[in-house]
Amino acid sequence: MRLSVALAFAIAAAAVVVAAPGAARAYPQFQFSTDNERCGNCHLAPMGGGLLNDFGRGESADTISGRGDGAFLHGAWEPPGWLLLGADLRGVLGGKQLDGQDPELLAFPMQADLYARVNAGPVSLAITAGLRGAARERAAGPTPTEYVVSREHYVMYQRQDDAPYVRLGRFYPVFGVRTQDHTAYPRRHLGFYLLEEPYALGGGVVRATWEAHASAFVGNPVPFTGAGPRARGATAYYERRLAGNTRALAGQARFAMTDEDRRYTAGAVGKQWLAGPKLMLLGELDLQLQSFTAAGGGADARLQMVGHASVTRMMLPGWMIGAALQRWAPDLTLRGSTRNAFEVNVQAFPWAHVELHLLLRAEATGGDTFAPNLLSLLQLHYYL
Amino acid sequence: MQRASLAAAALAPLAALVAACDTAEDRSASWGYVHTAIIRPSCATAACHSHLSTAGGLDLSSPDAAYSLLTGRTCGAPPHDADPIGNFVRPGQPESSQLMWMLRGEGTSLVMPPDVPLPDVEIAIVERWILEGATCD
Repeated sequence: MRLSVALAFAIAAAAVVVAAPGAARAYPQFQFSTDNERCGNCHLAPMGGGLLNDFGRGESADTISGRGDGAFLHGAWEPPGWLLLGADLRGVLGGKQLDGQDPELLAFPMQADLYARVNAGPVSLAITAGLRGAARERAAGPTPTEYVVSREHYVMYQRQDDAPYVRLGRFYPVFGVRTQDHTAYPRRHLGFYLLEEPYALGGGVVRATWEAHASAFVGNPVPFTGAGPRARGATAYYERRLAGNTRALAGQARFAMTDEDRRYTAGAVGKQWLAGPKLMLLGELDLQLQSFTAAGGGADARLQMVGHASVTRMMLPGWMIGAALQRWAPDLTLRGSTRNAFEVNVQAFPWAHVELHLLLRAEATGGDTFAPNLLSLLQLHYYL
Repeated sequence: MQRASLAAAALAPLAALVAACDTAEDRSASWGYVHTAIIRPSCATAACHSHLSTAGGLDLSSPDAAYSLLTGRTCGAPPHDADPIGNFVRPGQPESSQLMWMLRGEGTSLVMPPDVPLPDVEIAIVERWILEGATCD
């Protein structure tokens, strides 16, 4: 019976063959609120997201959903100890309405990523490969590379769970709140948008009450496997956990340069779990100085700001309901250039491996909050 | 003194926020600025006009290629009568440039960017770049 359920899910998942790279990352709301003080308790990657370890799979069933078996293939088959496998599949139905335009219906495959990790003692090889998204019509005559892409592949060395780690390959350096939503402003506007993963050498250490990570990166040298400015630079992130692992404060910095610009970013992240009302508060504020080197010296540097604040009512197992405010100011002294967004997220976890996520967002450009652009997305998410 | 400097540095972003009074005229209308500050982050994304997707046959990732695609001219080469005219930008004529129609959502159902349109102030900078000859500087 368990095998037939697993096969049914696998077949349904495989049917989503033109899916997309909605980079699956962690749900930062789960930190503290599930009595797990760090991402690495449940995830194999130091920054969270992607493959779950055995404990994380157990948590996904027992704590998050309250029903089902969180193991790979619902426990129907267990891979050998040196191999870990998984997948993320998302499909979307929804609609949008831009200011002054007619409403538009949306239906597209959002994500179909397969994960594999091979362990050989302290060395591991992690690969995420998936079918690219199809939110919009593709160019004529697509090649296979327009459908398949590996947004993460890296070799990591770590002797044990709480030991320092080093990794080399393609991945996002640890930075920011690290929400799974690639359209969240800190990701969208700070170099962590869709398929913008650089190639990097990173390292860090995670302890009970603090963690620190640093990375140096270069732009993806293969144009047809990524997007974005292909910057080179470095990041640093330090997080301190306080108040009996119910609060965290983090400082972060990033430098990125291209042939066209230089960006210097400094920011802070705050997380607070309020056990009484079961509220998870998350916030991030970043300031970025961008100078233009390809504008003939005629363009002044601009100071930018990204802000993200959210509150989530944790009703686990089963539900998570939250609201978020976001602000992106690409040029703090330029009047009418800001983007502001307010969104509501309702996430249901009816049983292990399955999530329904309703996103409602109103987004205003130029400070015109009375004529927002509206977006609603209902995502069906299956984690293998 | 040091404390005062730190306080000033901490308050600078807030002051800048309050003093957001510059207009499009106060910003460079050079191609280097227009591409890096507006076109690249808003248009050359994974699902749109990047090398990865080339939606509509357009890859706007690099400034030189984007310039050629939008204007029909070659960046760095002096314009002359034989230059082909791009479909999207007619130098000196923003009102007849298809790019402006799409950015403003006027006379077309193809609003760009399709997720969230640009704010008017950024569209005004693009318009000024076209009006001033759409040069590749």
